[in-house]
Amino acid sequence: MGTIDAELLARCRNGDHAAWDMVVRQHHHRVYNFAYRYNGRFDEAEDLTQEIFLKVYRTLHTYKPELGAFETWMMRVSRNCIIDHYRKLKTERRQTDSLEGEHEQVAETGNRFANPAEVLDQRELSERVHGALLRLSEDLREVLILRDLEGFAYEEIVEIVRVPIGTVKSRINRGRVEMAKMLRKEI
Amino acid sequence: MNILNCAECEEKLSDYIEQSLADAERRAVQLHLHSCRSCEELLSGMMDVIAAGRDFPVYAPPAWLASRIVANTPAAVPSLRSRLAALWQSLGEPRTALAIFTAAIVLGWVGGGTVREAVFNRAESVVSCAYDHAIRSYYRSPVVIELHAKIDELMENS
Repeated sequence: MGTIDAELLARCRNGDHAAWDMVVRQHHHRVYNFAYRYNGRFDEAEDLTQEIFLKVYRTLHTYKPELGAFETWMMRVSRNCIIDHYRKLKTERRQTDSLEGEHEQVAETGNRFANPAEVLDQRELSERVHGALLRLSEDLREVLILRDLEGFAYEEIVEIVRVPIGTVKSRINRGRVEMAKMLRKEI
Repeated sequence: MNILNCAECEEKLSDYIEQSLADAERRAVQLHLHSCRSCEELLSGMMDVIAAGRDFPVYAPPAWLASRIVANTPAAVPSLRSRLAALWQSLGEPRTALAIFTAAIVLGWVGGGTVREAVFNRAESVVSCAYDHAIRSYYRSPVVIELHAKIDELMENS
């Protein structure tokens, strides 16, 4: 997880656009993927990423480094924005985009599967997992994304979602159980 | 050893996978899993979900997105302190100082006491108009009228 120094944030608070540009470029991958994983649409992920960063900029003065890492704070802002957006729309979501999406996939996962057939299998599995994830309730989905897809520690998830650790653990377990059952039915 | 049923085992599966159970609980889960095909399959399915999460594709945002975000970020509103500092700095600039000095000389020469008097008279009339308006509004308000009526009534009764 990338770290960010206090001086850069102080420059952003003083209206330094160059510093803000650096912060955006350092973190927009993560926020974009988080938004996409949550709602399954690239176009909405783009708009949400912008909305999230504008909110981060407006509320930058409320971030207190002594209370936690900037990334955790930013993900809390992201999560709140995404949930607000999701509740406003309340429309059915397209669960997956086409395999021939216009967006380039980062090589991170592709490198692990040299065989094109395996790459396709892996993509199909990811699509099925994402489809099941989008069918979960909001409560279960958000903690499962944070834990299993974003790799946050339980304590960080507590900070982001603002619920007790027992609730986080219980939701993660229920989410995994429901996902496993959904995927089993599909086979 | 505590014998678990399926629901109790299901509740502990994530902790079992993440190896955060105490020894006795872990043994109880293992015991149940050895005897329950359904929970064993569920465990395997949960491990697949976790593995799929780790291998989930990471997408590159469109190249223009970061630039669009930065371009749409409004310029920061300067604080009162920095605005005052900027004003003070501009007052100290020779061109501004010269303009203020010239304006003061011209006004003093053209208007002198007449200008000061006109400004003072205008301000006084504005203040007295506002005062009259406030007093009239007060005495015409229904609450005040009612209060006065009540006071009069009480005084008559006493």
